Amino acid sequence: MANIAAQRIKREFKEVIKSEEVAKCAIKVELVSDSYTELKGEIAGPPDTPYEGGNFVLEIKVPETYPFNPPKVRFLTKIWHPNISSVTGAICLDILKDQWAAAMTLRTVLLSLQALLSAAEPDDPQDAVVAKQYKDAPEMFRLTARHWTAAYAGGPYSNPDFDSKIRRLTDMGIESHDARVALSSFNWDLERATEQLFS
Amino acid sequence: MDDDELEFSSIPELQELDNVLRCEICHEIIKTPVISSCSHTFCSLCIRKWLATKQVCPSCSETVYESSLRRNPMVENMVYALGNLKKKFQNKNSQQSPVLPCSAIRKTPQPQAKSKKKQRTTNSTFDQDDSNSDSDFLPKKTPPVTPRASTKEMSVHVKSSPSTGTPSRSNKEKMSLPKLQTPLRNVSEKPSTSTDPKSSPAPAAAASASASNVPCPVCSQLMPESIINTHLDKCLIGESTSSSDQNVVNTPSSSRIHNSSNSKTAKLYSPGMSQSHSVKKSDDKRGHALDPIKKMVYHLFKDAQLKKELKKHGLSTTGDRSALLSRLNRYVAFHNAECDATNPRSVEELRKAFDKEDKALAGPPSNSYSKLFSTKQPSIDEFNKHRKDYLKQNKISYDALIEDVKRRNQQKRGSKSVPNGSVASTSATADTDSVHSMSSSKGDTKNEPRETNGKSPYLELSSSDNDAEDNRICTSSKKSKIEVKEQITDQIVLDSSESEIDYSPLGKDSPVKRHSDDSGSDISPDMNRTPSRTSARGPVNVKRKVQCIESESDEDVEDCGRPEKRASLEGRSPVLSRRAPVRRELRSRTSQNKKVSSQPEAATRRSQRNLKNSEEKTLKKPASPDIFGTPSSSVSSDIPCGQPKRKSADSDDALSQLVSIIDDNACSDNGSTTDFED
Repeated sequence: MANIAAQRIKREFKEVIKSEEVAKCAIKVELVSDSYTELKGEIAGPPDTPYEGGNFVLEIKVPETYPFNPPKVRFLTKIWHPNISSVTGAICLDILKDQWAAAMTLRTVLLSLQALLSAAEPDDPQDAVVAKQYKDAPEMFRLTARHWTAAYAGGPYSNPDFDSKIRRLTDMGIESHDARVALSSFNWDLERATEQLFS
Repeated sequence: MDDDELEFSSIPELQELDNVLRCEICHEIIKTPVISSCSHTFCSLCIRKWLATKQVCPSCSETVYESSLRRNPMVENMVYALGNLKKKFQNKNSQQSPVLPCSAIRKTPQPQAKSKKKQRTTNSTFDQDDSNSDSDFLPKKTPPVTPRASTKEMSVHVKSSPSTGTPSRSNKEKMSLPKLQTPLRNVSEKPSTSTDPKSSPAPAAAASASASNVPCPVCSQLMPESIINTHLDKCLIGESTSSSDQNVVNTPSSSRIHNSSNSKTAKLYSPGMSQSHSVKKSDDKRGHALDPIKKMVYHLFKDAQLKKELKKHGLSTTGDRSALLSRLNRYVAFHNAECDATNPRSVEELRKAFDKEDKALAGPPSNSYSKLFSTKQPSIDEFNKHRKDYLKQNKISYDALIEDVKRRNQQKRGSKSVPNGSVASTSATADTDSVHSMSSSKGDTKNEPRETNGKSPYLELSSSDNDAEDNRICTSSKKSKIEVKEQITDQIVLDSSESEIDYSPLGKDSPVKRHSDDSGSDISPDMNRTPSRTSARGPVNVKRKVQCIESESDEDVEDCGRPEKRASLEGRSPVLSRRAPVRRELRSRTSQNKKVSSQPEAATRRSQRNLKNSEEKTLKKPASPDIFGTPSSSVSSDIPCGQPKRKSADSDDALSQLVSIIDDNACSDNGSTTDFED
């Protein structure tokens, strides 16, 4: 890795460690490899959002051309969000793409992602299904996102109704994640989800 | 730098200053600062690299063009001051150096920085203002000095203050600016002055008595105030000429010393600046100033033009178009960034530095490529070396194998004496030998071989009388047939390992001998006499071997193989042996009904027969290249069958390696075969 990238990441790493957000447990980074090319980030779900109480793990890959190119970030934790793929965890965020600026740091990226969780942008979606639900059935979206947070990110709110529907499907031999995806995609309409799963 | 941070952590204000003076792009202490049209300051190189990717300010995303970047010497000076401060801190912490200079210096940079901040205007004027307000030398200094030069002086004085060691100066350092200016001047201009640093002490001492001595702002020599003006004039006029003769001791400022020694200490903070202002001044006069390269739309260039452009700058023209483009762009940024430095390196230095960086950039991938694409044909020495290394690596396996073979050979030797003495037939000897060796490894066949040892001579003779009996014995029981198969495969293993070891560099002892002694002696006559037969029989033998191992029901094959051998042993006539298969086959069919009366004897014979066959096969194997074209085919066909039964896992590896060695030694293989035949 180019010297400048490694040096900078080292410094940024320290910066995050020392930052007050870490003190508040809002963000966290840890090294995956000693070379500072790969890191693992963690952000807390912002309060007053469906993601509240969850901890979302991120994969951060630092390119050799950093900081002239943005780091590659994706969610490792499954999340139900219009700008984040529920399948791959890919993030649609301008600063991770064309709006990246060299003055941004790991800390600002993590904080930006946290902000993204509290302010989704459905008009520029990564996951079209989620975005559609977000616009057409906001309440359903909220419940679904909260359910996903509880299921994958350790969120506190469980939804007995959703859980029972998933159980119905798992009893039919469906993987619980597949069942959850199908149900979420069809606004928790058990029939249509079943139809889709078995078609 | 991290250490410095730690030092500073005790003083939060300094830590803050340290943080403020960092480039937002590289997060290092800013180096050759330039200010953008949106008033953000970055390292010159960093921002140029960034603008190559996108023409916006990294901090505020405002549109910024490279042409709008301007030098920011004030920041440079601040950085330099901070660097000095850090150095002092380190010294203090590490060796408890005098506190006085430290505290004095600590005070100086900050007021200076503040004053500079206030007047963040064009750099041409602020220095003068600065010095006007603070120092009485200013008037004298300003007239001759160009705006740019004045800023340089400022920075120089900052730099030189820590390094100056004379007591008089350190006392004066408390006065901040005046004293600061002195050192910087001395750097370049001292030469011209009549007073050398060495000569100065005397006048200085005298002057101190009168208390009206002042240091020359250019060369920092102390002198009576009355003569300072004339001195200064001289100083400024001759500034660039005389750096050679003087004050290496006193100041690090002669340009050469600057570059080497000073840069080392100051590079973290601002490589360019410390060395430099004075030097640059002189550079200007010498016409060494770098002119920025005009940026062009290189990606519209043709390859040839690109290369021409690269050559013009003395850069390598290797790589594909994208590499050329990126190299050219990077060099232009590199060069133009250097132009912002207060003391730009020469073009040659620049080129060297860039080459280094370029190589470092291209280094890692090229290394991996070179591994992938090694030269196709290694030299013989290299090849041998690799082979030796390999052999050394696997010496343990080889040793084990050799030991194993030796042991078996010894057993054979021991048993050999018995048949040799009693019977004339060497083939019988060979048979019993191999049987014996097998018996050591095979518990269930033990009885038979032992019997064979004693009886073989007789059996051999008798069997030659009656072929039919032989066949009968062969087909007598299925169980014993399976045993035979096992024996055969074992024998094959033996053979293959032995023949392999023949060629291995480590084991050149018994195996070779064994071949020629034991079995070679009985077969080679055959071959000698009947070259045609070899080719006729070879395929049959191999085929038979394979079938023996793989399928149990091929009696016919066994029969036709065995009688054949039989024939060769009995009559030693090519005709007979060639005809034999058919004849024997018929016989075996008829004789299947006959039962042998004595089972033990039958079993013994059968095994003996089979062993004879396999023994002969062994001898054939080296010759098989003639038949099959490749020696390896016969060897490798042996290994899968027999190997697992006897060899441990690690010797498997060794064996496969040995096989490859045999391949390599195909020539010698053939040679040994011909030896047999001869």
